[in-house]
Amino acid sequence: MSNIQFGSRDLAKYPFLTEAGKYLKDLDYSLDEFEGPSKKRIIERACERILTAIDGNVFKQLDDLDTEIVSFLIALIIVHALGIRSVSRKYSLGEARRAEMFLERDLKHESDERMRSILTRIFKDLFSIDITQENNKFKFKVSEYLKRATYFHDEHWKLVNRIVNRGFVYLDSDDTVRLIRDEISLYIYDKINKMELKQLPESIKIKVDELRGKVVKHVEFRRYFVTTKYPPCVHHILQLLSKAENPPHSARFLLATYMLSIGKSTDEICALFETAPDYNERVTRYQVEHLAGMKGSRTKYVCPSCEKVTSDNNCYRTEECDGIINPLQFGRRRIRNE
Amino acid sequence: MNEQSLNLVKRSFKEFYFKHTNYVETPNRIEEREFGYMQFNGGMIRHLSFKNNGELSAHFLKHIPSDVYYSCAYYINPTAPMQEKIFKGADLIFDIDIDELALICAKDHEMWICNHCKNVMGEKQECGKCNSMKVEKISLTCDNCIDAGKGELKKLIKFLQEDLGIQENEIKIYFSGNQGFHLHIYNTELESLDPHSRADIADYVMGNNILPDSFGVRKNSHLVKDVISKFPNIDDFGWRGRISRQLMKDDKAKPRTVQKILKAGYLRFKTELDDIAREIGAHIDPKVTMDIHRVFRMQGTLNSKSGLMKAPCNAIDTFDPLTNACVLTDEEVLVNVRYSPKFRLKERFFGPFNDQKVKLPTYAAVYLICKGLAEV
Ligand code: SF4
Ligand SMILES: [Zn+2]
Ligand SMILES: [Zn+2]
Repeated sequence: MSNIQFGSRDLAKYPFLTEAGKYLKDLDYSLDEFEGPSKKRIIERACERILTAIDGNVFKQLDDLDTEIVSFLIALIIVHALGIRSVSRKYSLGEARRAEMFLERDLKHESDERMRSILTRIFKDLFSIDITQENNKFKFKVSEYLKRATYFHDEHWKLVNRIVNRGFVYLDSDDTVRLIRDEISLYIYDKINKMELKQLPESIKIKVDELRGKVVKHVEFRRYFVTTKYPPCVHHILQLLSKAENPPHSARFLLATYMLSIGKSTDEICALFETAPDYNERVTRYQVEHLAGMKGSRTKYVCPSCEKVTSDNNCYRTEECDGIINPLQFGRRRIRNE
Repeated sequence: MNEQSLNLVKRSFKEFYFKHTNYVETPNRIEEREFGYMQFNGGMIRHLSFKNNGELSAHFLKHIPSDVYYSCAYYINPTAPMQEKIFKGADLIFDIDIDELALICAKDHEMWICNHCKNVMGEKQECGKCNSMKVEKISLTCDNCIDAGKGELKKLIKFLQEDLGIQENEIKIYFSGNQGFHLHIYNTELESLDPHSRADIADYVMGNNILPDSFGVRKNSHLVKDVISKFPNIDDFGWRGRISRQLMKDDKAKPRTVQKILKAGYLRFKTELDDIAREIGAHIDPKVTMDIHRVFRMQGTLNSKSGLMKAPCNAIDTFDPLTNACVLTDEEVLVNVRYSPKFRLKERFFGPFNDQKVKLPTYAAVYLICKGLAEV
């Protein structure tokens, strides 16, 4: 099964596989001499990948295989050099969604055996898990399955609704792909963070600066947008976060419950926390989902009252707060009076 | 409990810990565990740590606790406050509470006792003597209770072994010392699971939230042929097989079974699944399994709700908690029993008693005192 060779087409779809690195060596690319028109095209491509992901889209191109593989690796370097957490995160997610798209497509067209060998390989490479197959199903150890699947809230993913036998959970390929999308994203994110860069070639450095300009505008815009709508206590926490400071637990609780109450999604709320110095995607997501009542206790937490916020030292009252007893009422009264 | 009663209980606990240090089972990886104990005057001492068995026994001989606990979790700093302990992993644990099984025998040995004046009543009501509303349920354990508990135990073990792949030698079973059984699982892979994964396992053994969709039955399914290819065979793995064996005798009955399900509709089938699961699932307390920071009663120590020991159960069928866990002396003492139904300890039956002075072996006297039914 594992004697199937990965061609450049596979690597262009799944450039995070270890084999892509080797491929790069064979092509004899070295960063030191990353100049010249052909290299310029690759760098452009890398920037395209990044911008597509930041806009929340999936980069679909698969024309020039070598360029696709190398541009992924260059994009990692650029994102690392940018050093903006939200960009790293969005980029990782974008690449994971790209891989998911190809996996789903391949599942329909490729031979079963080939497909399974690709999935097996991704697990081995990315998560050091050996998955085996039996009767067209993938077998996961119960503990490996649980560590991943409990992050989905759908009942369908609960152990009781899976096929479980002798310590293994049996999944079809569709479910296997879904199970690993988040993992791929985290894997790429990790790869970006842990990267060690020596001197960057001038051609890439220029691009990094250029991108920074574009991206920062993006982020700034969002921040400006943020400042106008929220009560002073919430606004203050957002400011702390945007300065990469660490708000206390009570403040995080206020922010998350406030945002949940006004209908923000967990994704949006997690994104608010990503600039915190101790940000950990999984933990934050877990906590926010817990507050939303999706996890564990299933009790929904409500936004604390102004009195509570005040006693936690998180209140930054202005005259606009007059007459309200809960931050959620901020702005509402005024609208009614007008 | 009056002072003389308390003294008797304390004295017999002390004697037990002196005579039977070998009963106390030291947990593995002792230096990574947090220990805690209850004192006879009520206070709970937590965040203790011991390096070895000797240190541990010495401590308990000195303090004579009413109940002893240790963390199912392994910590880097077991004595630190909760946030600083640093969690390394935890044994997977299960608790079967016989009282929760709603058995018919309960009416023969269940009573309510007034917290205020200790008046014993046959049913839950305001105290007839002092009008206090604070009444507490008390139950003695009978042979039927034990059989029912063992039944749950067997169901649970089947799920753990056949489905979750846990080996026999990784499972340790205990009578809790009062009305239940405890299971400790020692398995390095399961040790690292977070509370959600543990909740998922608890739901699995209980059979909570089985979806009709897992049987190919969707909200909009109407045709037998759409469902039948996804409907389980009777020898399928896990819950699919278990449920299908309840629904039909053999695979030949599949078309008929599916037809019936579709006719009744999605929601009816969901209710049917819940009913079957309630019957064939294991009845455990999911809160215990989920909680990775729980301190759990220590093996081989006494339970102050009964004076019985948390005793190892090596062979379920022959294990008799009312004998194996009954470890106090049989020296006779005179006690006043307010009320007690007939009960068994060791090979002897006692009672029923109603407001009378009786001579009882210490183990039986302490049992009734701990239950709140007698005083010296
Ligand atoms: S008064 Fe209420 S809304 Fe205004 S800042 Fe204080 S806590 Fe926030
Ligand atoms: Zn009373
Ligand atoms: Zn009974």
